[in-house]
Amino acid sequence: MTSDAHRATGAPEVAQARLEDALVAAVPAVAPLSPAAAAAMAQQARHSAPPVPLWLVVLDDVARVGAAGLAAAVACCVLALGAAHLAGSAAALDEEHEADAWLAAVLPAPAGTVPAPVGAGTVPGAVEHGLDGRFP
Amino acid sequence: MLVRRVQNGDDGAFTAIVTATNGPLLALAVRMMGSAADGHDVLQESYQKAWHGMARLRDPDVALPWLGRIVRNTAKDALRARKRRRTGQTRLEVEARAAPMSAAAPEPHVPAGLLEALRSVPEKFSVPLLLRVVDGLSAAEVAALLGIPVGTVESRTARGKRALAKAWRDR
Repeated sequence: MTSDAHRATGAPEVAQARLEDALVAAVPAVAPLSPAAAAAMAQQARHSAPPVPLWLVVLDDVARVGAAGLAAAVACCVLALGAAHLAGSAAALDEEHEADAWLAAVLPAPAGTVPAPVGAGTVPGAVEHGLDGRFP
Repeated sequence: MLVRRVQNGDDGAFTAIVTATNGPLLALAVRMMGSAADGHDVLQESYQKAWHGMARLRDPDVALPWLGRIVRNTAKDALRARKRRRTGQTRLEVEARAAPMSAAAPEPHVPAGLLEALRSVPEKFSVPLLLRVVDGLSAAEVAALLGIPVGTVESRTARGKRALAKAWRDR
């Protein structure tokens, strides 16, 4: 727009002014709160509960359950994370095998080769390379 | 002076602070959030934080920069929360909520595509540009609100104009 206006007027400052005018026309300015609304907002702020920092909540919890309880909680978390990791790994392996099987079934075998048997771990075209068509 | 009065237990002084500062702070909140409704929510939360934290403010002269920082941090938190909420929404729902900037019908002589071009300008440049050009704040006020030097406000405003002009031309 600046360059368009510049071409039309030959003056960059006029182009800048037009750009600013267009911007002001397109985007409404933010009107400050009325005195009554400002007073209401101040009153709400005064009556709001103080924000409690997270670290204070954690410290309070630790103080209540004690060190032994905290250690037990940490141990539970570690076990839960380990179980989740193992479950995730197993699921990922299953998905990988399913993907391999799907690819083997869908991909066309290269011309002049014996189609590899459909099943997990088969590789189309592997036979012509002296392989047995299966992943090691 | 007003801050000292609040710290000394004068509740009425806080109302005076809100009255004196809500204009630029609301403009900052609205420009960062992209909508008037979200801007009001951010401002409300910011004043609550300010009320509870004002006792710790040691230098009353830096009240506006301090309040500006609270608004910026509150707005950033709100934007992050909004982003998390939107991950599960459909594109139509997201676009419907992103409409506020264009919700006010542009006047007939406003070039088509200007608002879309404005959205493509990085916030780092569009916020100072809007605060300076549209909301009419001084460079010193914008500098205080954003916590940056006055020269940086001017350069970012100029870059915002150039980016807007380019986006508009290239649209």
